[in-house]
Amino acid sequence: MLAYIVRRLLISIPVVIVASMVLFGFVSSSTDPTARFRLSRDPTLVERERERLGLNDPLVVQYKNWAGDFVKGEWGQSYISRRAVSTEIWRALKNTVQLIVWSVLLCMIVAILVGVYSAVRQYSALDYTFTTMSFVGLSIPTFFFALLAIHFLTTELRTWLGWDDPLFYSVGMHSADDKSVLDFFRHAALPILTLSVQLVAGWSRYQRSAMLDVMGADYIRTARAKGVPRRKVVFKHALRNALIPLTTVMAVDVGALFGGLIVTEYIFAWPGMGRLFVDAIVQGDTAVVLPWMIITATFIIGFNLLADVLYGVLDPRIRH
Amino acid sequence: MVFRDDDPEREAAGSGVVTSEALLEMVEDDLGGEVLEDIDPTIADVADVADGKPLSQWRLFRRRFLRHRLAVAALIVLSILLLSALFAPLITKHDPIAQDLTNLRQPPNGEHWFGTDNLGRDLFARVVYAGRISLKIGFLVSLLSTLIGMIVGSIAGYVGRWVESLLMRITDLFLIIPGLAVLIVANNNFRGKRIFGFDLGTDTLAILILSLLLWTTMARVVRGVVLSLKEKEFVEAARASGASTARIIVRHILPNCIGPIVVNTTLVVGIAILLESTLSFLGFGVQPPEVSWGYLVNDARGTAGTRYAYLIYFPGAAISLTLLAVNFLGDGLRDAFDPTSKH
Repeated sequence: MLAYIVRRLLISIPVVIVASMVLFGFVSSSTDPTARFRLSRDPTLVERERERLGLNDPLVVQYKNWAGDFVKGEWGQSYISRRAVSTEIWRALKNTVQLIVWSVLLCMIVAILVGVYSAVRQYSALDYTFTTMSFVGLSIPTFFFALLAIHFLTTELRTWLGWDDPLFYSVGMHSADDKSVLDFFRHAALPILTLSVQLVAGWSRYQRSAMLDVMGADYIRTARAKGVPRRKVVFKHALRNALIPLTTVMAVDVGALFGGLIVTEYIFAWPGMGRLFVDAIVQGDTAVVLPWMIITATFIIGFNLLADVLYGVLDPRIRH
Repeated sequence: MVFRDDDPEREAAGSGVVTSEALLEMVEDDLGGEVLEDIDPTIADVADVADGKPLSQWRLFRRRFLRHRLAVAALIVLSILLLSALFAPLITKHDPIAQDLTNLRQPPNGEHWFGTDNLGRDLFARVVYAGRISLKIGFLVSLLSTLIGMIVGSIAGYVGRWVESLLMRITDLFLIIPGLAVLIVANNNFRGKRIFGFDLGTDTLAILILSLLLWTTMARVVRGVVLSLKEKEFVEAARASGASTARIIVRHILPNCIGPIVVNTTLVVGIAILLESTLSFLGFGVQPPEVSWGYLVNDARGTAGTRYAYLIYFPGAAISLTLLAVNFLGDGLRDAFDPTSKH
């Protein structure tokens, strides 16, 4: 098993390197760090800045210098906040992780319950309802759902309750004067809900089909024929195997979330990775863009690897 | 790396087993003829052959598709949306960019079906005209990315060896790149610039970039089918009779991939519309005076929580309805092309 994990890890290293080359080439060809000096009165400023940043070197040399610094943890400095990019990203990452953890926990439970129910009671009225709901959930754009949530669960709900403050806030992570856990969740509820719609819709469909697969297997029929109670067959014999595909799908999806919450964080002003990225682009803070992309790509690669390893651990037949 | 098949349904397709218990339950629930068709689509198909007329592939396909009522409804909805976008001037007499400062923020009424926005522009006209851009981007991206995906996928699958390895590694690379972020950077920086002497409109740019991002699933799908087909006897026969590689791929192999290709092309329409609207919502997509549905939602963003929120509902609903229709259509097409798959 250990050898398997090590081998997969080793394969991932060149993947990360190639990805970093591609992203470096892409970002340096499509962003211009000197753009903010264009309007300067000093005509030599742009040229001096290009020289200072090494932009006149061949691309290969630039990549080599950049990669060397990056590995040493020197990711440059934000043009806007003047803080180290690594500090900015680390701070944003912590906030994004909080959203991800709570959403994933919630979605996992809901998706498994819905998926198992739909499979065990296939073609029941509730199964059709869940199917339709998941289609709707996958079809509503994140930004539309988020705005609807703000409208109904912040403003309308407050009016309906007759409160001064809304039950759920739609901006930021904390109130200025209140750092309690309750306050955190009043802020986090809507982003988590928004994030959960698509995850639950996708995962519950997956869980349903995995469960249907397993329920049709011979060993399940054998267990039933031997008189094992239906409940026990479903939860003990079938569910355990039916969780394997979902686990790997979840790992892959979670990896994509680290850089994938752009819309959600933008709308709810959640100071995470997505917000950091949009702000950087809007303000022309190109120093943040490349490290941001490398980090999110690394998360995607890492969680893909995790999915692979989990699959091998959970289902020994897969191991090569 | 684990590559996830995009649709959970296909996972279930392989099993196709209905436990005897579930079968009993179903028959007890409903003894109508429908249930029997649901259990085994082939029963109905075979029964039809019995009345003397042989069924062509196309008729079989059409029969299976029409049975999927939601997909038929989706096709009708999509056709209506498409026609209203094409014939926008006939649908509404209002000008989507004409401001009417005496009629600001009118709620939906008989004259302005969807109301008017903060500059007095008719929202219905704006939604209909925005559909032109959104649907154009959706369909063109889908066509272009299908073309790229088909070429890459069939070459990789048919030629094999190092060509396949190289092409598939490139495809893999797209999986680990944060797509929306790349899209934002590219759109933000190439907007308004001339590339190869062409002046890129914002929608042309979006079409190009989205296509370059979305061809990989198609390449993967086509490669898979080509791999399974290239050892078949009919391909060998074509090769033996001297057909060129290009001819074998285009005339003999690709027609046999039609099912997965059409299904995937349909789904890409939805993905492209969703991505474009997200991009426009964030302010990186089409620029005024052009409008897309995502742009309209962005334009009205501040009305969330006010009584003017109808400005969000209509364009948002237009996107959701389109995506829903595309997803149901894809589902119906999949079932129709592949009778062994079912839920």
